[in-house]
Amino acid sequence: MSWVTEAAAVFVKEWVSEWRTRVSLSSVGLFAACSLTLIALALRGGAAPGREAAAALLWIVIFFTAATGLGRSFVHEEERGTALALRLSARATAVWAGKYVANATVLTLLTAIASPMLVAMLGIRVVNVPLFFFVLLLGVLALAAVMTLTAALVAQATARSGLLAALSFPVLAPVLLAGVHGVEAAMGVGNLSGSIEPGLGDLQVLGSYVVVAVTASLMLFDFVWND
Amino acid sequence: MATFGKLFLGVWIALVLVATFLWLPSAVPAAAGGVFSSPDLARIIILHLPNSMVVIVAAFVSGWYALRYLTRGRDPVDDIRSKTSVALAALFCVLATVTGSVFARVEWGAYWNWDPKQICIFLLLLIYAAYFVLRAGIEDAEKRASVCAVYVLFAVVMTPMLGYVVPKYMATQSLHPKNTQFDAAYSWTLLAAGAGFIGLYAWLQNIAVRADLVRMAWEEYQCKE
Repeated sequence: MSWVTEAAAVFVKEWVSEWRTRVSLSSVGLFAACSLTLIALALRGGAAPGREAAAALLWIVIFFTAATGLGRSFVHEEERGTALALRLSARATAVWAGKYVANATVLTLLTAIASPMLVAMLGIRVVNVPLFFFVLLLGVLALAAVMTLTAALVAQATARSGLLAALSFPVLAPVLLAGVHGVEAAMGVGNLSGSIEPGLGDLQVLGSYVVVAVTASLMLFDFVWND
Repeated sequence: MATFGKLFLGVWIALVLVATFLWLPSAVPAAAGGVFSSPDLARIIILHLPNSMVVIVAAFVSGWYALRYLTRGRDPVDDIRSKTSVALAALFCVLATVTGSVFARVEWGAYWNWDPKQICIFLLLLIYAAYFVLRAGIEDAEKRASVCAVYVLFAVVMTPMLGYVVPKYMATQSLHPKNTQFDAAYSWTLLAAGAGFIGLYAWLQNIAVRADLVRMAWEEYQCKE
């Protein structure tokens, strides 16, 4: 089998096994719903927060939802003892790629549903929709790249809950900084033309981070996987 | 040889301290265009900056041994060296934070103000804390070694980005002076202190690795009993 078919097979397998139980999807969805409700309750439907607070809230929801949901994929393999079979049937890099794409799609789905809800709830207008879209997309790709590796590390540990967030956060700090700034820029006043210009620096930071994170995560994954 | 090295290091650091407090002139006062509001107390920089140098050295050393562990036959001694270096990096990180806070208090008026460099060092501390939680969470020694080595390498690759990205986004301009022109006395004392601190790190690393080897041998012996 070629590398691409292997990776695609891992990706399909992830979704098929996820679809049987929908544990990850529903836990991610519920976590996001709970945190959105908490924000709504805390603001008591009244005072609208500023752009900075809104951008920060959005990234808090995305980051912690990702940290609860993405840890499952490798833990699941270890618990059911399927990791060995997967090791035999695909190359490590193909397994990484399949899991990465699966994680990235879950996160993209989550972000696509949660971010418009949050924005609508807070009563904030996103002036620059293309910028908003690209910042979130690149941010999600970076989050998934880091968490695919850290999830594989955490799957070997005993205290798994919470550890994924602790391991990923300091490494992901540049993404969160650039992401918050980019989302803020997209909510900015004026500039209705929809050009990417005001957040160009953020997109550059996020883009280069994604490249570095994907490379490092892919290269190091082999050492945890084929152990 | 070892005794001579220890003696030399002790005398060296003592000389650095003497130079810091007795020989070094106070910094250029703010009134004369200097950057420090309390020029006399700026001497603490000799005890502050070298800590950050050690953190960088120790971080790269731990990354190097992690790489060696993963690529060269999984020698448990490499894992111990990498772990010890991470622990020492964490220790010097704490020292840099504490001395930096005191420095910030006397020169800028606040112990902590989310200066970009303070944020970077805080994130490094978080990484080291996470590393030791991860380490404590894995029972199997071989698995623990390889998982931790991967995390160290990942952190070593990803953290240099912090240096570029964090200053770009923090609203507070860094109060750490940029392109500081130290006068010759300061540069030489700093250099000597840096060399002394790195020597101190090497000495500590050596002791800690040997202590861990003894511990490992003792555990093996107990298992056989």
